[in-house]
Amino acid sequence: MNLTIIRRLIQITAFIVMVYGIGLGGYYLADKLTSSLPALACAYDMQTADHCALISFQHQMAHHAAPVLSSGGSIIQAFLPTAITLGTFALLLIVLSKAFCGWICPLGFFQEVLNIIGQKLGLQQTQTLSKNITSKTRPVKWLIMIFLLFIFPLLAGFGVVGHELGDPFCRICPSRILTTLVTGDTKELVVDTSSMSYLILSVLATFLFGLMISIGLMVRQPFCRICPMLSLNTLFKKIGLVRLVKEAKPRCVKCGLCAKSCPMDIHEIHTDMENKDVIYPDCTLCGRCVEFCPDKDVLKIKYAFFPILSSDPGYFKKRKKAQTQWEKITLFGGHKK
Amino acid sequence: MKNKNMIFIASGLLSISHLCYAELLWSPKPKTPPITHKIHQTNHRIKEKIFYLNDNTHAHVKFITPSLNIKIVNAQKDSNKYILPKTGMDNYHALLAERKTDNTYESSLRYVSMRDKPSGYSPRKLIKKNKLPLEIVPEPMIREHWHFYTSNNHNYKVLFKGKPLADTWVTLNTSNGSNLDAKTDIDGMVSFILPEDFKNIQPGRRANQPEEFILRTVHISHGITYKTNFSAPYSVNPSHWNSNIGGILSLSIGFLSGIIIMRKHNRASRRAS
Repeated sequence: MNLTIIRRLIQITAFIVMVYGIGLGGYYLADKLTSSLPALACAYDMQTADHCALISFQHQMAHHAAPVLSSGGSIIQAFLPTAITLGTFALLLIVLSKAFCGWICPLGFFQEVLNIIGQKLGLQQTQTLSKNITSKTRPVKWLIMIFLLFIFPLLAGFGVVGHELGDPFCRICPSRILTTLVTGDTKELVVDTSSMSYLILSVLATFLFGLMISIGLMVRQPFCRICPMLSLNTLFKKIGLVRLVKEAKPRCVKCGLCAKSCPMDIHEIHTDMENKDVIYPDCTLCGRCVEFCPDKDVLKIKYAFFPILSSDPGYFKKRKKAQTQWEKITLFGGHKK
Repeated sequence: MKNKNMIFIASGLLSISHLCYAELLWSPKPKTPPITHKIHQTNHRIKEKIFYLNDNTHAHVKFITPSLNIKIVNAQKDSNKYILPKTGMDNYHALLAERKTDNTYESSLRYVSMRDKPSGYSPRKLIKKNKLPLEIVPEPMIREHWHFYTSNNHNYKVLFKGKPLADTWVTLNTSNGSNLDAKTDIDGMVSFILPEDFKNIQPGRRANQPEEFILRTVHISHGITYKTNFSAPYSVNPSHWNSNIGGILSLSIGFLSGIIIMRKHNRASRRAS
C-alpha cells in the first residue's frame, strides 16, 4: 500500500459521492454534503450537487454585484455574497489546502484515469512537458479566473456584453459535460444553435472536451494546468493546513526525480534550493514528488505540524519497483519490456 | 374510464352547485394583466414574488418555509393578489390555498423557489411533509437548475391523509390547451410526459416564456369530496435548438486535433533529442 493507492481510493470515493450523490444517499446527501464542497461536481449534473464555487462566483457577479452597483448600492453590498463564498471556500482550503485538486476533484481524477488508459493502450507518453510549454500555459489559469469567473459575468450583469457571458466558464467547463455524461445525461454534449454566442461557446466547450480527452491519453492532467480552481486554491495556500516542505540537500542538484514524477511538470520543485514551502501555484498536493524522492526527509507532507509522509530511500525503492511493474502491464502487449 | 368520468362530473357539479366557487388555483399571472409591470422590470433578485388565486373567496392561504414554519398570507386589499413574504431563506417554499365547506375540501399547491440566505434544509423535508389531506407530490421535486420540460417524463405521487392513493385518475392540463389523464398505480404513482404543445417556438430558453401545467385529482371519502391541484411552470425542451450530433461532431474534431497536436509534439521532441 503506497500513497498513490490511498489517493486513488479517496479519488474513486469522492468521484462516486460527487457525481452520483442522489443515487447513493438520496437528496439529503446531495443537498447537505455535495453542495457544501466547492467541487467540480457541477450544478448541471442532475444526480448531485447544486453548488460549485465557480458557478457561484459567476452568478454573484452577473446577478447580484452588477445590479446592486447599477442601482447605486455600495461596494460592500455588491460583493458581500462573493466575500462569503470566498470565506467558505477558504475554510475548506484550511482543511484540504490544494489537496482538493489532487485528491477530491472528479475532473482531475478523470484525467488521471485517461492517462492510465493511454499508457495501458501503449500510446506514447509525454512524461514531462518542456519548461517552454509549461511557462506558456501557466498564466492561462489566472486569465481564465479573472476574465471568465469575474470580469465577463460582471460586464454581462451591467449589460455591456450579452447575457451568454453571464457564466462563461461553466459554458466551456469540461466538468459540465463529463459529470452529466457519466450519469447517462447527454443534454450538455450539445451544440447550442439558439444564438451565435451560444453556438461559439458550445462548440468551444465540446471541442475542448474532445481535446482534453485525446491529450489526456498522452499527457498528465492537461486541463488542470489551465483550471481556475487551481488559481483560486493558490490564493489561499498560505492558510492551508496541508504543507509540502523541502529541505534541500546538495544531491538534489543532480537528481530531479521529484520534478520528473510531478504530473503538473513543476520544474521548480527540483531547481528551488532555498524555499522550504514548495507548494507552487500549479501544485495539486498529490504527493508523488515525496514518494519518488530517494533521499531521507528531503521532501515532506505535513498536516499542520504533524508529518504525514517523508521521503525515504526504503519507501522510494519499493515505490519505484511497484511503478515499474505497473507500467510494464499494457492491454495489448501483456507485459511491456 | 367510467369511474374517472363519474368523479369529475360529480366534482364539477359540486363545485358549480355549492356556493358557485370557481376552482381554487394558483397562477403567476393575473387574469387581466395590468397595463404596467414596473415591479417585474426590476432586478430579479429583489423583486417580489406575486401569485394570484383564481377565486379566493373563503380561502385560507399558507406559505411554508423549508424549515416547515408556517406563515399566513393575506390577499392584497379587494384582490386575489398575494405578495409572498420574505422568509430569510432560499430554496423551495410551499404555497397552499385551502377552502372547506360542509361536503367539500379544496386545495391548491405550488412550490415557489425563493432567493435569500441558504436555508440549511433539504427541500425534501418540505416536499415529503404531509401538507394537505389530498396532495399531489412531485417525485422527485425539481431542484435548482432543473426545469419541467416538454417531452420529459415526470412522476408524481398522490397521497390521501399521508398514504398512497391507488387507482385514482389524475388529469394534466396545460395553458397551451393540452389535456392528458392517467391512473395512479398501487403505490399512488402516476407519470406524465409533458406535451410538445408550444407554438411558434423560438431558438433559446429566454425567447420562449414558460407556460403552466396543472395536475388535478378528486377523491371522495366519508361523504366529503376532496379536490386538489398542483401547478408549475414548464418550458420548451432545449433539444429544439441543441444538437447532440453537433456536440459529438465538435467533440470528435477536438479529439482528432489533440491527436494531431500530440503527434507533432512527439515528432518535435524526437528531433530535439
